[in-house]
Amino acid sequence: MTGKKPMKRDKQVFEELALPLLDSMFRTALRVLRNEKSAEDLVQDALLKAFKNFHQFETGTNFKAWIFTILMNAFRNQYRKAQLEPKSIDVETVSMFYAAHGDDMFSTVDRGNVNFTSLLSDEVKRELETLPPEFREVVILSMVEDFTYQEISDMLSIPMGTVMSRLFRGRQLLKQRLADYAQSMGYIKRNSAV
Amino acid sequence: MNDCHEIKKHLYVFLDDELSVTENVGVLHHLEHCKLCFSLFEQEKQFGHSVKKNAMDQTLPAGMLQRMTSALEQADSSSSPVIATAHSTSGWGRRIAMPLFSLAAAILLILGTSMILGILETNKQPTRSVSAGELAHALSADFNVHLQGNKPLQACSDLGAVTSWLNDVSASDRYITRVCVPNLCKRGYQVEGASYSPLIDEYNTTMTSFTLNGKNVAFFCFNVGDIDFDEEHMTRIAGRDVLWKKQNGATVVLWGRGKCSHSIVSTVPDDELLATVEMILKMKY
Repeated sequence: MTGKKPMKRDKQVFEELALPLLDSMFRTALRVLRNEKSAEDLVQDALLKAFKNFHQFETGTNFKAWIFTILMNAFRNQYRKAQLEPKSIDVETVSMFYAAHGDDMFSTVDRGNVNFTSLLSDEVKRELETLPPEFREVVILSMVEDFTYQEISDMLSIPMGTVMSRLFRGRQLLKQRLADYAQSMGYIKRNSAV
Repeated sequence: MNDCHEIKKHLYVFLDDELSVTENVGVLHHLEHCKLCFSLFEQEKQFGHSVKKNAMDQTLPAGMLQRMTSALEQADSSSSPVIATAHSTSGWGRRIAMPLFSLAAAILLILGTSMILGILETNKQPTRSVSAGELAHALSADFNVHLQGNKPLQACSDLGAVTSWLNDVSASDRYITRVCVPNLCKRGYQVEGASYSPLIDEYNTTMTSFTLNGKNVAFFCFNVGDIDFDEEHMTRIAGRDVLWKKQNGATVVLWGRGKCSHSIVSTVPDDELLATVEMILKMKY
């Protein structure tokens, strides 16, 4: 199968599978790159790589997970190495997050009176984009694109425990920031009593 | 799982539908009885929905779709077709190759016509022998939605197999697969040939197709909002938002209508499920 080029009939099948995913590919690329032009270039790069290797896609498996793996690989290979991304914090230090925080792990962001439904799209996007890159990737792939932990683990080549800890910490950071924003804007529930 | 600390530890994993069936039931049970944890669950759920809704609000740049299709067109034309580049035929070779090619084309034409006629015949007289995967494809065409990935799954007439199956399922909304199918199995219904099919549409629809005591069934589950399901041909079951219709030789059940995702109400429709299933089994088609 190695080196097999896509046949004519494959292009139509590929387009039927891939083009409906352009929206989610682009928004993911945009969130991790924070630049529209770069995001479009990344999507095109991933799209062409996926097309070239379409014969390797196993029918019956999750196409979205497959093409997102290519997208995230393209991002890592081209953009991370070019150091377009700011240096992130050592997220591995949060791998023991659950154990370290115990019962208090939700306390820092337990803002029961915050009305998150009033959040504005731009603010959510801005806060997503300013998360540390490793957190940002897993948060977007899980919370926005609905990939499973296993799929994200395969996609990013990191252990599933790391996916979970990054996702946990990323969520907490995002929630804290958005809660601060929501409170500053006065998005408070009228009846916050439990 | 009665301890609040344990629940908090599992809350995100629960929200992400990554818990096992047993753990899932444990969390649901606790949330039903603990107001504090339920409040936290509601807050996290609202936060998650808000992030997703706002983050998904993103349009493609003008002309991007055209640029992508052009790039694919260019890539396709620059890569030589497999058949055309297999050999450079000339002289006698070409004279032999062309009749062979014509013969092969004729055979393909006959086979293709037979297949089309077969499909038409199948549509005219639906049978119950189609696989769950075939059913998923047929229904996705009927409802004009695209299969994102049709995952054929093992038969699951016992809970152990169901648990294994659920761990293999991937998508955000697994209400049907997490709750309904295990409940059916636990109650002795024969659920076999299950096929989980995430669909691509603006409603984040999911569909699970399987055979229920030998009858083809497909459950649609919707994350948000309403959808234009032709209600004239459907009937409400148990006075709730469960609608069904006969389609392509199967009973298609529309479930939830906006209340089936990551929701505490997951435990409520058990009676609806059983009422639905009993009605399906009584139907003659």
